[in-house]
Amino acid sequence: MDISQENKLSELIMRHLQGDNSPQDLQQLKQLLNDDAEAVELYVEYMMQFSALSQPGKIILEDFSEESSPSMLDTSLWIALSKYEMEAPEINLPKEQTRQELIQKVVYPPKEKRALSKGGIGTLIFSAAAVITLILFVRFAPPKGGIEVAMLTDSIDAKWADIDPSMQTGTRLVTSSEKLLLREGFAELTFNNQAKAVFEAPCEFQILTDDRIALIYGKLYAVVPPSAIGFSVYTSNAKIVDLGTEFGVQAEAGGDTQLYVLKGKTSLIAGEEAYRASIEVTENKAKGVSGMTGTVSDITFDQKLFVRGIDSETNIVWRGENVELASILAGGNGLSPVFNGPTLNPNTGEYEIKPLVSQPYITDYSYNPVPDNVFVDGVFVPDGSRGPVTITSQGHQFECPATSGKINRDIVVLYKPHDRSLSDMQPALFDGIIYGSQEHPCVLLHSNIGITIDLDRIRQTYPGQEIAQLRTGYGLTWAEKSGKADFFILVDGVLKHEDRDLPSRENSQSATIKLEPNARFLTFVVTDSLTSASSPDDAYSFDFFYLLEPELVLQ
Amino acid sequence: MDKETKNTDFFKLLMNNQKAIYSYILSMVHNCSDADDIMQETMALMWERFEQFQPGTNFGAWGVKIARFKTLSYLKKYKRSEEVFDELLMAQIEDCYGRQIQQMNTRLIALQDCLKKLNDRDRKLIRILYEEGLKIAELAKRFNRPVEGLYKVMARIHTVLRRCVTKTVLKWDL
Repeated sequence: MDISQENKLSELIMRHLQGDNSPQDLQQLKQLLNDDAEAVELYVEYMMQFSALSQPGKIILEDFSEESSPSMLDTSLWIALSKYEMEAPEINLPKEQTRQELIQKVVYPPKEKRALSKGGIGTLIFSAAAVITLILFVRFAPPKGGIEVAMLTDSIDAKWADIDPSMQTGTRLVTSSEKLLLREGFAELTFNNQAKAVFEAPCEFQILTDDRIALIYGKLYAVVPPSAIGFSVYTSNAKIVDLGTEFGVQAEAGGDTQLYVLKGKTSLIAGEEAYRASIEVTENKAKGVSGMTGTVSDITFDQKLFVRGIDSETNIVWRGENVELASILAGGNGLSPVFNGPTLNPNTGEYEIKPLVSQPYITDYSYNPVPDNVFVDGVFVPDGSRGPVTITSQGHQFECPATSGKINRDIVVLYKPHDRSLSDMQPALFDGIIYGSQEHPCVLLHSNIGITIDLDRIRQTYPGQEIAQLRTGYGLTWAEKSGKADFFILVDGVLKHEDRDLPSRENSQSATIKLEPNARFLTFVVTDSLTSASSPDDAYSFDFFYLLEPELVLQ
Repeated sequence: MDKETKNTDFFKLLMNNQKAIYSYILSMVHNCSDADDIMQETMALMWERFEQFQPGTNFGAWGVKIARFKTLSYLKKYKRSEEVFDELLMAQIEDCYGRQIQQMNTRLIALQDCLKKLNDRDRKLIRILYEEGLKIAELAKRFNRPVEGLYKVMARIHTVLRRCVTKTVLKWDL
């Protein structure tokens, strides 16, 4: 059988195995096999070859772990392919000296003679360039230590085993047969293709190529931009190929692998020998691969299992939680509670430690920056009777209702119940729950008060994440007598929510505000409903307004 | 035969011949998913009948016979006649497997060698097809390449590989 006939047979077999053949193709295949005994021999050899390549064991293809992995988006590959399809040159294989001259010299049939086209010249130039590149690569190939493919871009409390102590942020990492063991803390690697991987100790892994990691055990979370599609994580019994996504992989020492896809989709290739299959795993789904049997099963999706981002500047280890505004307003990082924190004086913008009791202030109604909290743009005492109120550092203004202009309490954040023997604050009791605990934090905004948060600064702390929404409960708790307040939420000076003449109630209310990607300033204003009060003193007294579990939803 | 010895002997022989038996099943049903199911049943039946196997004889060929039985049952049940090979052709293929099966492991080693001899582009394509598990039509659609052209290229690469493997095995036999 000559080469063109064999190519045809090969093509028919491929189509048949891919399920991409017509009835005519199948008929043609049967005819070829029925008519030629040699074709049957070749057919069997092709099937053995196909089985070997498509079944795992990975002995054959993994031999190329030292090479750079092919990227499906490698445009030069596809350009070369298209040129080859059109102008395949002759290939002459050297004649083998064998006693059994069964194999003929392999010569592709000559192409039609034609003038060398521009495409042909291009191919020639490309081929010459490829050869020159290959020569240069061989000559100047990187040393045996591997190729630099990633950088350690951040770490928190990281302790590595058996590694040069100079391993720190900025260290370049190479492909290597050696394993990296993270004993404690967290580490973030960024690859040349911009894929990021966050590792949580204890964790052992190996950088195979510029887009392949072997996870021996432990947890890693990968964020893969479009430029890095195809980024893969190998474990002892599975391979995860990114198809444009964020995903977490946990490999246990006993051999089990778990895959959680948080955004986009991945391809999971797992299973024993003949049963290996490629499964697409999509957003908010998780799969487990048994280390004993290799079987793949659905597992419960857990969005908070992996560390998705770290920031050593703010000491943030982020597992996908929403940002707690109570933590932010208390001077925290938005993830951790702040106990017994200072209160924030709206007249001065300063944090102070003082008793939680009423203390009348004299105010100048100015907008006050808060230098000790990078996330808070400013605080103020609103009184619309003096004209529009400035509510941001950029000069946004709010046509606020007239108020008594009186203020007697700071902004107070509660992560645990306050000592009522030392305070005259009324507890935040709503819906049968006493707010002011780690589980149910709250923020006191006793009228008349305003506070503006800088969303841009929060975005910088959680890079790559959008602040999608504000969600908060709120209410006016009952005191010695019922209060009444007006509550406003503004974004960049635009009113988004209001609740006028809010009375003291047992039940809380709620507000959900969608936030655009470019929204900068989030403002809360609580005024004393002066118009419905009998006197200014009556207006602002007993207005124990609380924000309940306020949070910014990230996505 | 005590149980432990039976276990060890069976799995050792199976490991050495599993790929060959699987490739036989695949050559009949042409579909990996169906081949997986039949392989499972075949292995179960092989285990059940292992005491009938004559030690020292061709385990792979014996496994192919059992696989044939399972494959034919499957084809009768699930496939239309025009989709399958006729009995004579199946017998020829089975016969060929009987002769070639003992060479499969050698061919695997030669295949590994021959993959290294492919040019960089061809090797990349093989990796994308088999390692990423994508179909040729999907690849072509995703990257806006003509499907026909991609089939021709892949067919050529497989032909080159097969020829290289055969030459290599012959050389080693000398």
